[in-house]
Amino acid sequence: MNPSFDARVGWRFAAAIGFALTSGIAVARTDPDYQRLADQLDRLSTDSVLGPLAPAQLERARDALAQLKDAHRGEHDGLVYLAQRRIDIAQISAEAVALDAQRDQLQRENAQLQLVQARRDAARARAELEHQRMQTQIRAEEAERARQDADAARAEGAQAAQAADAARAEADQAKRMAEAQVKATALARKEAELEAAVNGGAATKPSKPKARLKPKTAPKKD
Amino acid sequence: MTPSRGKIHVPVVVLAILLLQACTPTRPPIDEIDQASRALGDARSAEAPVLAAEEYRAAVGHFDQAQAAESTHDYAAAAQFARESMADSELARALSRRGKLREAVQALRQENATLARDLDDHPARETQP
Repeated sequence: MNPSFDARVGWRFAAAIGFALTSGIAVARTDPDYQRLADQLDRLSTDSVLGPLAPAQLERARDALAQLKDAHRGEHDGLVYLAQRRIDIAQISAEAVALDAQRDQLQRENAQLQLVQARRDAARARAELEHQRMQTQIRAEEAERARQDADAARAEGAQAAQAADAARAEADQAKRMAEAQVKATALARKEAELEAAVNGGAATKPSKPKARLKPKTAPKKD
Repeated sequence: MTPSRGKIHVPVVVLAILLLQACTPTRPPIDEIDQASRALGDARSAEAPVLAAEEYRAAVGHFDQAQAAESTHDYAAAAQFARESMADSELARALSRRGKLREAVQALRQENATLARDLDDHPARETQP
């Protein structure tokens, strides 16, 4: 065997081994793990809602997938693990961003609802206050009317008592006049009897009294 | 061994040794382990041990493996475990954040529904005197 030929074969063999080791054996093209992860990442990237929400995490997931594509055999499982994690992180992060926006929207709605509720409560409080004010006014007016009625009744009672006093005084006066009349009549009769006795005569009829008192009526008071 | 065989084998062995040395990290993956440690702390601060327990446990486990590999000078494995731990921690933190946001959204939905029901049942009106 030619020694120079052997050396050339040796170096070619070594170069082939070196190429295989340094460039790695292309497992990605036929790797089901790679294909599965690539599909998963593609779905997330093209998702109209979540796709645009976590661009940085998606980029890291793409980098991890690219490393898996170029993986050597010994690195494969570790890089599959990392690529899967990076895709999961991108997915969860995008969902969190979407939830964050949803929370902001709900907080705005909450603030609006609380404002409406506060306005309603304030309106109800104002209405209740107005109601109470009117009730108070009505009660005050009723009390005023009652007071006026009582005053009127009191005044009417006093007037009636005054009239009764006047009537009583008038009756007393009439009674005194009647008594005076009786007394005058008796005195006139007595005078006539005495005059007849003085004139010696026969029985004469007693003269009529000279004057007849008329009872006076007291003036009425209004 | 013939001289020709020696001429074949020697370059192969030399090349293999060189390649192995080139592929193997020659220094500890300090940066990767440091980043993994920080990521683990961030996950812990985000309540991941409660809200993403499985992922947090994986992060702790991979971090421990990274440290163990580093102590045996298996730097390639240490770097890989550190990267896995960091990814676990980041996932755990993202899950925690998503869990908290879900709770907040759910609570706000319920509160808004209660407010809307109250406004429907007791609309604004003037009380009659």
